[in-house]
Amino acid sequence: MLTKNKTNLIEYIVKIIPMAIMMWIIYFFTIDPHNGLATAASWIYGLYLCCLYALMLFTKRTALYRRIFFISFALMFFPTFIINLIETRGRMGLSEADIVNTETPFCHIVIPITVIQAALSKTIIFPARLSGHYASIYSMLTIWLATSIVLGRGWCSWVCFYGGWEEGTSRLSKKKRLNIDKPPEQLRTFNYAMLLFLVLVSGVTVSSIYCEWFCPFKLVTEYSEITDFKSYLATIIFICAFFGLVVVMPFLTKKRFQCSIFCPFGAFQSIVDYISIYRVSIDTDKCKKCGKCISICPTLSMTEACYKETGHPLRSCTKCGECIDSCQAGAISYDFNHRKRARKESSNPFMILLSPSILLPFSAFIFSVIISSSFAPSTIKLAMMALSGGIK
Amino acid sequence: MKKVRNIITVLLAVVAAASIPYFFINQESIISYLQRVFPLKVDERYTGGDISAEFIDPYGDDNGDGSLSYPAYEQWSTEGTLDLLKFTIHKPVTDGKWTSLRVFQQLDLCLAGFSNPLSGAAGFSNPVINIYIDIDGSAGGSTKTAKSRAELVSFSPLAPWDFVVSINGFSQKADLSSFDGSYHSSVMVYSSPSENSIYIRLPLEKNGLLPIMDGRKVSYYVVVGAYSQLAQGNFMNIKTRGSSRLRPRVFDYLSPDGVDQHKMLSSWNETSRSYAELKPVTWDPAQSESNSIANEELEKLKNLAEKELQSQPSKKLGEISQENLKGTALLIEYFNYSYFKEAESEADKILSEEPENAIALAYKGSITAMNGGKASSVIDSVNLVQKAYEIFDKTEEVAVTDEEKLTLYMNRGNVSKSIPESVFLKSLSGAKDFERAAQIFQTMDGENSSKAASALINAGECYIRAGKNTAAEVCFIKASSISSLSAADRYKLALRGFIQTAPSN
Amino acid sequence: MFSAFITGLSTGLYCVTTCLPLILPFSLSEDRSQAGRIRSILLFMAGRLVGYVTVGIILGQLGAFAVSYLNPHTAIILKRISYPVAGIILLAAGLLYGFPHLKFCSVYKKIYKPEISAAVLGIVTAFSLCPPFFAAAARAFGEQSTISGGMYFFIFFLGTSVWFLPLFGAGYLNRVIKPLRIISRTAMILIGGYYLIFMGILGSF
Repeated sequence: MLTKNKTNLIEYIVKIIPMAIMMWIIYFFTIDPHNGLATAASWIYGLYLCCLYALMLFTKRTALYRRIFFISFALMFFPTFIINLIETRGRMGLSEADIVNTETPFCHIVIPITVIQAALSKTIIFPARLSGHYASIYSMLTIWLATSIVLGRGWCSWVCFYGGWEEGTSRLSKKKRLNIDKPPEQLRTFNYAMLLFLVLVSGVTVSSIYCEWFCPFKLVTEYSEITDFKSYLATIIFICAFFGLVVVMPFLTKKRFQCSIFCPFGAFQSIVDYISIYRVSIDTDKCKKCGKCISICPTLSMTEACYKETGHPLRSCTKCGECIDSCQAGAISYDFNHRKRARKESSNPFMILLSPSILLPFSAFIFSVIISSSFAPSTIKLAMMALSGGIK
Repeated sequence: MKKVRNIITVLLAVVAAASIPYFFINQESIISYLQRVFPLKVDERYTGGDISAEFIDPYGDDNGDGSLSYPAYEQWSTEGTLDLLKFTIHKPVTDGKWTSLRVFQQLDLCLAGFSNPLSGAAGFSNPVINIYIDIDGSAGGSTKTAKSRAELVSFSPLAPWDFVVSINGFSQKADLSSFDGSYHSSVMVYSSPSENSIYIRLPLEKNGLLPIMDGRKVSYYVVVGAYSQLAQGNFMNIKTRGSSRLRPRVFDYLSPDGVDQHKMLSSWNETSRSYAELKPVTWDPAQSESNSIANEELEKLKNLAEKELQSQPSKKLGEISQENLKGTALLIEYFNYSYFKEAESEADKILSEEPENAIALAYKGSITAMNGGKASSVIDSVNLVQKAYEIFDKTEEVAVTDEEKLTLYMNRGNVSKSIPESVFLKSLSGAKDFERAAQIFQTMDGENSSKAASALINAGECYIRAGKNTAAEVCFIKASSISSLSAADRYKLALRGFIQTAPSN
Repeated sequence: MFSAFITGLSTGLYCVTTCLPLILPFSLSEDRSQAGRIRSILLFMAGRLVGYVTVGIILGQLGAFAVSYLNPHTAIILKRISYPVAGIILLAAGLLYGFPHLKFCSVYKKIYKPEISAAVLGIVTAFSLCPPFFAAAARAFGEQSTISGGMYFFIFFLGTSVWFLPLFGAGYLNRVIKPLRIISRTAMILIGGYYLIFMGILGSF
């Protein structure tokens, strides 16, 4: 029989294996060996990712370090994205000429809105490139498919380059100024209604109306040029949606308000989640029914029924791990999908590598690394250039 | 049973985790497979509607009646800015999306060259283009130009025009007016420099153009002139000694099938003081124009291409070494007959003596990239390809003569064309390399024009990989205007619909 | 006449996606029995039939007089008008069922009768001029007689209706998944609002 200390030591040694693989992946996808400043920036970002994963792995505080990554990813995404737009078409605004030329970047939120139309008529109701671009239709569709199989709604906590905004704004205040821990059903299901509404009306009008009128993230990506009253109104809606849903409401409620109540892609991922490999489980016997997870869950996915009866959070769970970190009884853990009850963690230190609590953060972080690596290093480079004497 | 299920789940999770990096590395091949089994297209309500007809105009006929040449100022130095290559007519759209017009018909103009030296608001500055539209056959309309003494042409009395769109690059809005002046409005002009294209959308509501929607025959006269702010109708007057005052100020004109542009534009009559009379192209929505080629013709071209491939000489290693070649000539010979190992050692030999030999460097780059393709690990191959581009960068610094540049462009272009696009994103620069190579080939004489054509075809294929279909088409049209094509190139162009017939002999 | 059925059948899927946002939330959110639900769907279909046949008759009649074409511009305007009308009905129905405790809704409650509303919706849907409708309209017009114009649209209606059959099962779905009712109610309000504000009011700009 091994003593506890010894087990811990072996566990640490065993965990070097995923760490080493992750370092290799970070090296391969992040490091740019081409020229000076870009290489330096990519090394900085690579080391940052390595540190985050190491902390995630060895301290078991997955949620905390995921959150740090997620917020920094959202902040680093938009400067590079916007500069990329300015480089390719000379401005951040989206003009009619760009639409005619199908040069609008394809974003994942449009996927549920376009996918039915695409399956029926093989046409995409969005003016984006088909392929040959990082934000092209096929590229986004394949990434979405791969992520959905592995993570399901976990997309919203590990891959989405918008979610970090709310993650950040919801952490700005210490006090919960507006309590919506137990929201009325109309509010909890509002994003599903958004999804149904958008899919049906987009099907009828053959236009992705979400991007036309309701997107809260236009402010940090691209906006359509104001040419007439309609685009003027749309811009007002975009600004209000960003500040209302992404800044003010998360600040007041300490929830990822837009993600859990408004975002149609989130609702879509909740449905897709049934095919994913992982989910979160609650050991109903261990649980002390303190309800802390309800108040901490950023996406309104915990209810009393979850820990009293079903043993799982709702399908809208984004697998962020906040409840796992905060549960004092240790009753909540990552688990494989479609398993009835939470299982005891194996005491064999080698088997721990095959447990969902290692595998899920590992798989999810690979997506995070690869997708963020196309943006973050160039933002760091930009910051370095700015520090060393202004951007040319 | 439960245990088996658990083991399968764990196995699945591990396999999924392991395959994520491989998914991203091979994303492009997955995408190209998907594109084959499940082809998607962007809804035409965004892009201007389904294409109804395409009229192709020859490349290099931007000299009006045969005697016009571009002004000598620097801003006219880009070739082909007045050379119309393609005029595309879309089906009318009744519910346009993300645009201020909801009922419109889009017309595309594709030019051989595109530049904006004077920073025109619409993205181009050299051409002035008038599109005259006749919607009611011989009934009603005008046979004179919109502005008198502008283009110096007249129009066929069989199809007098009813509406005219006047486009120039200095305004994002073109003028649309009716022949009797009863209707005036403006039309948005969009341009895409990367696609060499200008798009206009004709509003079909609230004017007399609505009848276009009922599927009748419509005739178009497309005239391209050199823009001059001061000239009448903005059509610049190019004076040459002894030329007639009646010579049209039209550089390129979309001539209908079987009509010679030079002849038509020089058909003015001094004695009766009448202008050259133009014939329109006619769009019949009932018969959509198809660029497809007859199967037997295609078969013929395919056989010719195969024959050409078989007749290509091959040499044994011994034969080459007997030829008494030295230095770069030997290197090229080795490379051309696919003895890459020998070529590499020869290149290394030359470079050790002469480290700045551009030709040896260019071939060395190609061979390094090829070694990357053969490397066993992904990391090695990525590093080798990146090293190859470093070698090419060095070559670019030292290449001076046309021959050296040509070698660099062809080598780098071929590498860019053959490496995976999603990892390296080099197709666009590859296309540019091939275009530059084609330009150099064209300045040379003799059989090099067929090499120019195949460089252009390569450029087009690179553009397609980069998702730039119109730019690719421009390359293909340019290539198909070259007379001495190799059989393989002829076949490639025929497959894409740019050549309709096999050569008769 | 067979061509009318085929036109309806082959393009009916498009029609379903046109009518679905109108009929689906409607059939899911009503607080009534299965029979009542089927009745409201039937009424909706009847409304569609009446709308179609009327259009057919009028077009046939018009066609008998005029040999020229149906002005496409007028058709576009008709289509634009049909959106805010459908929007108002959806909004009214959604607000009434979704938040019955709201006071102003009691005003609607007096006027509003689900049966009538479903039929009106059906007629309005019939007038939402989609491409297959145009195809049928052109044909009916070509018949150039009142009776055959009406007949043509009747058969067109039969062709498209095949695609509506699965809707009768929507009631069962309702009982299985409770939240779906709340969702479709909210969606109905959203769709109504969108039709009224974005396509109706802003669409006229």
